[in-house]
Amino acid sequence: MTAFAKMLASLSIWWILLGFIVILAALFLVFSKNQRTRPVRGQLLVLSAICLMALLFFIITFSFKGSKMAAGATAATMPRAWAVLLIPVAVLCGINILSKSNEPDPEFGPRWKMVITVAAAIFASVFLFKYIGYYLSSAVFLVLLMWLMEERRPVTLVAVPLCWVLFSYFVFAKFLFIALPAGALFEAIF
Amino acid sequence: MAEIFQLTAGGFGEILDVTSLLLILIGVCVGILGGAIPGISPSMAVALLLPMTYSMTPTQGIIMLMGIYIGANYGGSITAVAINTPGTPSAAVTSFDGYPLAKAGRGGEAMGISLWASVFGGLIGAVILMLCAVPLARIALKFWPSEYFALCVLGLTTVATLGGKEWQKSLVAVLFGLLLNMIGLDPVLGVKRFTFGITALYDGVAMVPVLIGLFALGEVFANLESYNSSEKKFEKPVYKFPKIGYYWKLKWSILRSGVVGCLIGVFPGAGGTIASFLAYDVEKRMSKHPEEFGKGAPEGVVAAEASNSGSVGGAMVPLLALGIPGSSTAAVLIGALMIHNLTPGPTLFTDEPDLVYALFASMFFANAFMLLVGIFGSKLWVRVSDIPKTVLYPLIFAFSILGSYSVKKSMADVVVCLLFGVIGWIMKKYRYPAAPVVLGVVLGRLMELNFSQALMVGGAASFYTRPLTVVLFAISIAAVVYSIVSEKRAVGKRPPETEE
Repeated sequence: MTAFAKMLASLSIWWILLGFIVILAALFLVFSKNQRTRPVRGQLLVLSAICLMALLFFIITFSFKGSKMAAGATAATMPRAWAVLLIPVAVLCGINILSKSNEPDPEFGPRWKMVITVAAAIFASVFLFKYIGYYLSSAVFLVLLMWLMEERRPVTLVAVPLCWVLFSYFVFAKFLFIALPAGALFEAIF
Repeated sequence: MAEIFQLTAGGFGEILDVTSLLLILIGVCVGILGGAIPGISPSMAVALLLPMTYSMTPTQGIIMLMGIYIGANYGGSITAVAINTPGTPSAAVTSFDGYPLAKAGRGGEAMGISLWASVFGGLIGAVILMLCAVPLARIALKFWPSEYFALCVLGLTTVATLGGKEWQKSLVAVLFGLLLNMIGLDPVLGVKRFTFGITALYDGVAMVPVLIGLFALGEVFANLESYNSSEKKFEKPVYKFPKIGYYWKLKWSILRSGVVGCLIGVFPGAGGTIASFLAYDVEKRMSKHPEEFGKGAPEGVVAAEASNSGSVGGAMVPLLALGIPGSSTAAVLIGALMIHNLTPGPTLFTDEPDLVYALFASMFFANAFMLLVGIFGSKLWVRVSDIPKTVLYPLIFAFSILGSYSVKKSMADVVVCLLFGVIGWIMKKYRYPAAPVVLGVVLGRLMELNFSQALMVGGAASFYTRPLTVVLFAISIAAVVYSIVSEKRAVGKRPPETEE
């Protein structure tokens, strides 16, 4: 167990995420095939993801080094306690989800693809901070987001990012002394 | 008692300067603005503005956030009355009678009642907070670590059990928050836990980005999913407030609802929404004309508004006295205290008495400002709902990113914020409440520290030999058992489903 725990603890976060995605995808297929679980597969997947995280944490606790406190408590005590406590709670929750009185998963709204696009755009914008700086990146992001939301008025598309950049510069950078990322491009130019 | 009043007077002196008063006023205005915009909850408004307090003194930061909290609770009622769209969840009850009153051409009356009830409900909450928090904190200072640990457990179970029909999901969410809190260095032994080689995680999952992600981004993602670009605009009625004498007739309703709201607010997780529903029910039962409720009864508006404003003071009692937040907004305020290196709880009264009493005093100022701003700005606040979503949502995203970055100037925090935005959206979609996650994150460290200290001081026996600890554990278990039993009874009473 300790060797396995050490191996898990030494993995990078990307491997852990990949493992999570693979397991959750498999569970999605399992839940989708069953008549009983199909209408509530979203709720079950959220529960499974939390349980999976608890299981991962529980196993990794066996890799912890360090001294013991009084009464034998270690750094692993609390994580294990929460992970173990999650078992009965998750069982109760699962039973409730599968009960007939539970409401099925809500349908995805008509704009769920836009949510994914917006989330991706935010990640891209944050990634670009390093290269083109906060100000340009956030302005481009605002225009893009407004466009995605079907804003077509030119004045709004220009005024909002401009006002935002000025606001963030004067309030955050000048008034609150929070240096916002300038970006490699601007650092190279100026 | 005299000492409390004396110290609160000192608190008034502490914030009686232009900067502090201006910050409270800004807080109230921002809060009303945020509350009036459907989709921005008080917790979201406070979470979004929290990073801006980083460069202020702790007192200035907290009193501004308190102003936002108080203002947002009232702000939600404006659009509830004017266009039947509650700006905040707790204002839903206001719309039951506020909107029918507005439709009947008595919009000014409804707006006036909601404003005055909010102000006096808030003041009642502030007085109760002042009177209860200090004695409670004095008792709490005598607690042993085991009692503190048991108290945290009680706080968590109460939150979970107040989750209603889906209390199991609340419990799962609490445990998820507690597990998240395990990431980072162990607080006693300094052992690295679940960091996966990421240095930024040594300090644990930063609270502010989590709060902003769950409350702001998650909420906007959820709204975006069913976003409609061609939303209709409502016609705004013209308002004329009644004379002051009119409100005198409602004094007992205001008093009752303010007290009910404050008492409900004390229970962790109850918050303004439950308070306003309960106060509404109480007023309806006590009314000579219960049939008018839902059709435009002034007492209905009073009940909703006085109670949700009263709940603010109530929610602050466990926060200040015990370090346990009474509502999701109070959980965000705990984050605000923590970013200023302050420990919420009874020690705050001994370590930072000036801040505590300044906070009490600020609640009185905030309510007074709210009255002025409400009277002179009501027409403007109604216009707030005209802000197009195409501008509002992108700005919330931009604010969230900037806010989460500015706390520690860390890109890792921005990524955490975004991740929790997505997590918050998914949780909301599948009806897993986000507030218990925050409580788990907030209380987790406190629990672990007290657990370790209890073991060091009295060994494992301290958890079952100290009477108060045992009582607190017993109440926690009873709270969970009660939820299970009441849910089973509710299922039994439901009519059987008929097949078509």
